Amino acid sequence: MGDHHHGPAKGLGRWLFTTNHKDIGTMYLWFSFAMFILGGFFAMVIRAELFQPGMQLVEPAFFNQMTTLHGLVMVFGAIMPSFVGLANWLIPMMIGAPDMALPRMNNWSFWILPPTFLLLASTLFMEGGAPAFGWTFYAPLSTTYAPPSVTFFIFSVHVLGLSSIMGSINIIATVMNMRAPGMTYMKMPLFVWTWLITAFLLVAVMPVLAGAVTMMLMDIHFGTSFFSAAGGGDPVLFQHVFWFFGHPEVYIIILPAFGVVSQIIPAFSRKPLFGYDSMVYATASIAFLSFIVWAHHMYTVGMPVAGELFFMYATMLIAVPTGVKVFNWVSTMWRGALSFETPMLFCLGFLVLFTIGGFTGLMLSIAPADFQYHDSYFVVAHFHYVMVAGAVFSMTAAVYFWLPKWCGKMYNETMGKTHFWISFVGFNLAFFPQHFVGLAGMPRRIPDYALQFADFNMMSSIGAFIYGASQIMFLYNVIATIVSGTPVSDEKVWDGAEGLEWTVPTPAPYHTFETPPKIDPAHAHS
Amino acid sequence: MAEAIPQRETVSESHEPEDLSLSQVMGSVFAAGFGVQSKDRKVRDFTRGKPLQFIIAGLVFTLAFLFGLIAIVNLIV
Amino acid sequence: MCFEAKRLFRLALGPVLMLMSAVVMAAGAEVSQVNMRPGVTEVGKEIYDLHMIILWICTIIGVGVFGVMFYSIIYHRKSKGVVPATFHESTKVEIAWTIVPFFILIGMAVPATSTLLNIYDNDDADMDVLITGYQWKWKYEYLDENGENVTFFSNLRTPQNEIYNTESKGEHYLLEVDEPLVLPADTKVRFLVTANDVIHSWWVPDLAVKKDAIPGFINEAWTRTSQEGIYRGQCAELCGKDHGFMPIVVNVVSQGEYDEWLSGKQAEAAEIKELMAQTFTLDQLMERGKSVYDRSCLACHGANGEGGLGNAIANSAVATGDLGEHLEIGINGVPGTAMQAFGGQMNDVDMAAVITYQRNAFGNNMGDMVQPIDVYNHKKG
Repeated sequence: MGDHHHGPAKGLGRWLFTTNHKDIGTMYLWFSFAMFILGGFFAMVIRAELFQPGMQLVEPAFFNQMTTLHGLVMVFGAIMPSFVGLANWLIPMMIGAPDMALPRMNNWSFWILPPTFLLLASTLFMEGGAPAFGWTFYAPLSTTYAPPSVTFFIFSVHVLGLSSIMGSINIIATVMNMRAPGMTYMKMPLFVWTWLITAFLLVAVMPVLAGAVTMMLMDIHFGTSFFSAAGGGDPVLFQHVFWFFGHPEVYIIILPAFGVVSQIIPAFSRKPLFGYDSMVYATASIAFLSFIVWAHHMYTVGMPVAGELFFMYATMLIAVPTGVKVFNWVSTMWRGALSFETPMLFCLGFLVLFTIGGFTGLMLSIAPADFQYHDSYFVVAHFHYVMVAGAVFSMTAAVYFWLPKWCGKMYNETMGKTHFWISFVGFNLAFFPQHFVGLAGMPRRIPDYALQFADFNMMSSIGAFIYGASQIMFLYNVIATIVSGTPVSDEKVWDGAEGLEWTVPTPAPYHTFETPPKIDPAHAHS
Repeated sequence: MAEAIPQRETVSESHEPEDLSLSQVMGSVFAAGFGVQSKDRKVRDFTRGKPLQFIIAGLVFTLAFLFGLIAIVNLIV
Repeated sequence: MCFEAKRLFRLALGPVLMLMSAVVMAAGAEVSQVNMRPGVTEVGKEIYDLHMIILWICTIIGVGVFGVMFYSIIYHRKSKGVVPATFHESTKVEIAWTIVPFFILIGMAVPATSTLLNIYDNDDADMDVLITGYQWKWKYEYLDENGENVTFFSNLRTPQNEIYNTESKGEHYLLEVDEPLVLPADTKVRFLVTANDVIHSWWVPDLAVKKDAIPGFINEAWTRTSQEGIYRGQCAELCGKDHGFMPIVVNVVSQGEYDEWLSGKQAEAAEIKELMAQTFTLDQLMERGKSVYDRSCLACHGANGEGGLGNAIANSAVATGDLGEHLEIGINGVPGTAMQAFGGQMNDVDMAAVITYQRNAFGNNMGDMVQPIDVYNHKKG
């Protein structure tokens, strides 16, 4: 890159006013990590209280605030922004664009997040406490029976939705308009594909969530009765609206993770991704199906049997394209030349644990069986296998994978591998026993439990503490790398890595691809 | 989604691109629903296909899928 | 290209078959602490079978997929000097591994559908029980053709001392109630499930019944078991502060015992009716009031009236103020807050007793009292 280009501005202004996709990506990533620690802290409170039967540390009302905030902060504060940060860093570099298409909006969509979460966290100190109705905030517990802080919660959700929609529009505009000549759609890296589809999902469903919370707001403050049966409304309507958002939302969380894994596994298998075309089609298929399965979260609300059957069949079908993805990743590894650096370890962890989460998902899709699984710890185990081992593991893999390119320094491999193994053991110790207590009849979201669940809960708490503690090691490793890591000798960092982002100098300069690159057909998936 | 935004290869072959037949379009849309597509067909779709064809076919497929599922359910209940 | 994938397929099959046989042998030793309970109903057993089938299918597929993966991890290492292959597509194999799961799913859908239809077959019930979820207790109402309904509330019986670890916990910690739901064996019982405030969910794993209790709506579920015994469950839908403290206990007894129990309850109801006409002394009211308070008010207002989720009662403007207003709040609640209308939840004797108790306990010492007739008159307006 030419030396006449200006570098980053100095001081705080650089971060406040930046329109640079790398700076904004960095801020998203640090913010999401901060939220991961905050949400993790809430989880530690939950697990500490559940360490033994009986009430020890917190009151039941506060416990509910913890489960609610844990869910909200992790979903909206940690996982979603982390993938937006990754998209900011990588999408322009992967498609040969100089920046995101809408850089000022990019700045705004990030900077409205920190005040929003500050507002949400501040509800903890308000009279009546923080929202205590679960991250799914079912009415009327979240309307008629909610603490006064619910209004702040509604406002937060609105702003989060705004941020997500702006981020998505930016990604769609970037991918559709800013690709380097020759970077056709079917040559785009899978991470770009999964994010493009995710962005469409986000634009489609965030307004639905906004609608749900707006109806809540009206019910609480303006005398309407959308969700109140006493006024002719319907509490179940809330659940339909929420899950019409909520189910695509879980794919919003997992699809970018699929993208990350589809970049990293080929790199460390030194072999092209198996079935790239099918992967794209399967992603589209999963995205489409995600819109017609929402009521599988509501099998016990008393839907007519025809509704149950419809949602059961549609849900079971999702297993097919999801299976295609897992089979393709395994086939990518088959007869490759594998090596097991930290990013690959996290991807393999993802592959094994996400598959287990997928299996329990299939079990949950069977409506009659769900009458026993629903709202038990089995569900908690299921979605943590998908969200933590799925989204968080792949995100961790992504950081280890691209960090050397971003900052030009190599992380400590031994510490990275240690981080993986402690995470892996801690995670499984925390969440595998939850399958057992769930099947044995322990409902979710309870602050205290019957004696028969004691052993597995203690195990689960210990695992959670281990998993939580291992993230400190991750934080240390990343900071140590940025501050004093050994400079990367090989420009490409990983010998098997393919894609435009590896063709820029190391560390990636402040501005990349100001002149579009020539697409080398050998680097593209064709 | 893939169907909605195809990109014509600029370095295309010399022969005249002819439109895809109805069965070819529906076949590709079905493949998208199914989740498996071959590379040859993908190249064909992205060189000769028109976005509108796939959008319409996609909508038709969606409706057919929904009503098919509803029909099966009604058959059982 | 295609050959590679075929080989991959064949290799996947070997370990699958091996593990299948190993796993089937181990299947005999099941412990209910780690698995779903088949329960005591026909539906429960069907669900358990479905659960086990899908679990095995998943296990077998998992073993196959992970088998191939670990084979790769062990044998296809760069450190072993493997030269990577270059294949990256095989439409045939991909179609195969799409079609095969699809048929497996259809195979699953058939028994699942039949069980679901069975669960939804609420017709021809021998008796009906109306279940109403309250924050945080259950109300059971035995619907009777002659209008002689038997109604009672079922509260958590576990003492606060056990919950707060000052006493050792009993065997059925958190799964015990003051008055269980009593059902006759070999009878198809239809549950009509609803709620008074927020959404609850009535779940008894052994009966394989879980149904959301939704305010303003009535859901149906049913059960029938031939096995007498005590079955325990919990509220499954987050319903606020004490969601974890509203258990369900179902006592299934023989028809004879059930009839005896029912007539006992009917006699009790008649007795309450008589009591309502009586006038009580302050001591009588205080004694009864304390037990009612501990059961119904303590969770929110504290053991010493110090307040908590609800306002304090000790020295409160309500409990030391106008008696009529106090009665009004007790009977009709405070709309828009967690203070419920208890008028429909307790009989007039209990209401009179608890209001009297609140006005004279915790240092309030108002000296006045409420008689059941006052409550009755207040309700009449």
